[in-house]
Amino acid sequence: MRNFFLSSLTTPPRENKSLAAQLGYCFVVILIILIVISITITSAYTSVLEQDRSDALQVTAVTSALAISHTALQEGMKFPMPASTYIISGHIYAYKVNIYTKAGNSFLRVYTSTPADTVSSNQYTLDGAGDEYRKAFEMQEVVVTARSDKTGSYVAGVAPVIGVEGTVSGLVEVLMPESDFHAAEHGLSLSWIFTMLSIAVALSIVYFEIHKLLTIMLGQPDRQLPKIIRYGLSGCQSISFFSAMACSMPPLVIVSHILSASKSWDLPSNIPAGAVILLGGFLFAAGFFGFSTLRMLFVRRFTTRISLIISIFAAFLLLLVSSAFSNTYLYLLLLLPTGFCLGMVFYFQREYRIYASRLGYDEFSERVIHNTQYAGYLLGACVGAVLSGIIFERFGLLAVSVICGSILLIVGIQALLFVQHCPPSSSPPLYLPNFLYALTSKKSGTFVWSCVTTSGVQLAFYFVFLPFFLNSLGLSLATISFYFILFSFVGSILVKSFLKLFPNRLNMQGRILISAILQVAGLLILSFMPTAKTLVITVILMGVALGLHEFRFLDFYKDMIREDKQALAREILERGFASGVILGSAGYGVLFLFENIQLSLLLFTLVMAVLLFAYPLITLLYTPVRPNNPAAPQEPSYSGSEDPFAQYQEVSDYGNPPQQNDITNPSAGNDYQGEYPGQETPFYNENRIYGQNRFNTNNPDEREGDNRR
Amino acid sequence: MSFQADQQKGSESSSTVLKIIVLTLFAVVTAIVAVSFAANHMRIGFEKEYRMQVNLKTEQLAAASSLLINGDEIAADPAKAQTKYASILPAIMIDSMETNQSRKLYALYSYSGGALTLLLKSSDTGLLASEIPISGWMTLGITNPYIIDKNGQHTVLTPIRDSQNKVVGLFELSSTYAFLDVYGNAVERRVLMSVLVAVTAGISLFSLQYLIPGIFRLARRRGVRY
Repeated sequence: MRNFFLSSLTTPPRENKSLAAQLGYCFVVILIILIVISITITSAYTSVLEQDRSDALQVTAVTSALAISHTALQEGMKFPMPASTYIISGHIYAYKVNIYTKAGNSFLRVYTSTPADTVSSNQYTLDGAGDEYRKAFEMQEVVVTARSDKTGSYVAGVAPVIGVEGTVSGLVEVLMPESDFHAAEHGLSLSWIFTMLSIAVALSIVYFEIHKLLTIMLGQPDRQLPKIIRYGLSGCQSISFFSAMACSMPPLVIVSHILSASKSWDLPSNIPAGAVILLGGFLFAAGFFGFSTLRMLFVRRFTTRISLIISIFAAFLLLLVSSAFSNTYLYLLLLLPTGFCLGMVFYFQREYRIYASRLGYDEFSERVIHNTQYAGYLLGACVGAVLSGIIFERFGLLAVSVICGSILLIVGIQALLFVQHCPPSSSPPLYLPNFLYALTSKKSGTFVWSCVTTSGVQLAFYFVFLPFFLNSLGLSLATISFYFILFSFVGSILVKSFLKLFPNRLNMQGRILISAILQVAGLLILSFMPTAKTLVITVILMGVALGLHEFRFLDFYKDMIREDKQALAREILERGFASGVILGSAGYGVLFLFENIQLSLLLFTLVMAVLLFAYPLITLLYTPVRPNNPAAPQEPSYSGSEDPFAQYQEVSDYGNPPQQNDITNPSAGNDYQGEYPGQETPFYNENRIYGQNRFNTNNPDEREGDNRR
Repeated sequence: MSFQADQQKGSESSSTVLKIIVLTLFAVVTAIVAVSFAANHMRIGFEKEYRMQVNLKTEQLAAASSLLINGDEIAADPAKAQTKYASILPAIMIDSMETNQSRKLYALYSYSGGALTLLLKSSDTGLLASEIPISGWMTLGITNPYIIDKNGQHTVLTPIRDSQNKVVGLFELSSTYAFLDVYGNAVERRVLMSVLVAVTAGISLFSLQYLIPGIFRLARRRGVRY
């Protein structure tokens, strides 16, 4: 034991241990400081509120005493003043007023405002009152004091009543429950504790990410690797984190900014704020997720890295202009181009993912990169939500724009440093008729709008619905981060751990069905009880639902469609998802145009239920014909079908890891599609088959891991 | 070889120093920003709560006062009414000292021929009734008070009627929030100062786990040398 102490004193913590200590310390210190200052401020302001309540008790007692002065105090008397009220936590309550006359050594009640307890039927003498009552009577003073009786503890304002003879004939007592007297609506509530927790977590995450960024920047890259992946997945995750952090800030403050503009009469009174928020959310979503052809042209014209840098500077400029001029119309107008420029940051990462995954390194397979980027996005969004909430509330929109732009500049530097070469992908363009045709396909089309588009709709839930909903509940924008953290924890840690513990238990169709049930259940619960506490359950259910697919949609969809159309699969899914976000931002925005959020959310849930259960129902209706040989399909018989987006849809176990004998003849559709026609395939690319490792292993984790020997 | 190793070691240690400086600065700045936000967020919430409470109290007190002020007395003899209410109204308002957080401004006017005549006032500044054209409102027979909420002041104008239900006077009551700004700024400043001290002390304490082993090592080396 002594050695342990000595060794811990003589050896400082190093590397991971040191980082863990720093993170733990950062989290604990920030949390403790926040809790301490919250308690301090609460007690400081509660005393101010109490002083005002004391003043209110006194003036109510005095006005009541004056109103009945020079009248006879007797049983059955009427009180001439209307009932006085006080406000606690937004609710109005009436004071309890009692009138007493002196009876020997005590006071006899002759009037009470409490309806159930009448003086005539039950005589009541003032017991448990202190010397203050006697002092008020004898010295003719107004006092505020505490008193308890069998009905509870009260704080009372007591004033003497001048009788007919001009002397003190009795007392007026104005009562307020003691709990109400000491209450504070904005003190340490549950939501505020969650907000503080999320602030502490978010700041620890930023600390960790900055530590990681510095370590990567000051460290040596692996120069044996191609330029794009030289800095490893850490570099890729770092870019994702900072880009999500920056890009999540502008959309999250749309609601708060428009609502504050509406309150300060920057908007005409005949335009509801909800409609402007709907328009703002829609414009940003359309800019961020739309215009894919324009992005493609942009990237091919300027190269990926230069177009990223141009977009970052343009976004910074647009953000500054929109926030510097406090004009809501200009702000709305610039949301579309700002969204487009910020969307380019994510488009760059898409190009990175496609190119890096084509290099043939198993540890840089598309799903691994996508999962890494997704983890970065989630963490970045959590931190972005906290930062946007904190900065917007404290310093305003301009500060949010400046911070967002500064983080974007960090992303630009990272992109130039970590991604030294990234040619644009040359995937074929997807025209609108093709996309619509893909959607009309019986199974694959249903899959797109039932599973992929709805995922996009749920993204709008987090960026359009949540800020508005929390604002309507009177919660801080920073509180949204708690829900983001909860979603990330459930979707990325709990669900992934569960799926790792029980591998191969759920095929893709099972996952889709469970996901649909959970999403509908989450929305249904929220529509019945739209409160911040119910939202926790909804977010947990959605986290599980959206964490189940593990980015297997593309592989699953490719297996569904005809071989010659597989080159379009990525674009179809991306456009399906983008359409979902755009439609979802409009749909969730519409909910707040109605007074009754419960009814409108219920209707929205019904629409979502129809969409989400469409694919599971289609698969149930068209029961797969199980072939005798489970290794099928070797020669898919789609020649008779006119629908190019229908192929292997009758096989029941799609989405399951392939059996050993299945892999002997992999689908040709998974071959390298030649997105980089002029590029030489690296000599070390032993894995020429997309989505499959060279060891033909059944274990998807091993497939994704580092199996380069 | 040893020169290269030394150079590499030097570069590593300068990287470490740079990392420590950046991370420390970042930790301090984020802690202060987070606390500033929390303090400001709570302050805004409490101030809103306080204003709602004070506004309701002011409106109720104005209504009660207008019931207690006899309109017939004002109509019959304004000078006598002035003397009477000059002693009653301060008693109702309890404590209207300028330094008090519950400071109230009030004034009593008589109303005849469409003009207001000041009978008594608690302050020379902050009274609004004479600056606002409310004659039309007073003759409309509206029972609700006229409320003005601007410049950190909540003003309630209540008409006073005689036994014929005719408007014969006006009672003006205002609550000011000037105290709130001063109080809030003081609280926020103190909290931020405390946090600055706490974070500095925290980082110093945290760095002890890296400093103490170094000191132990130095002490051991000295022990070996001598």
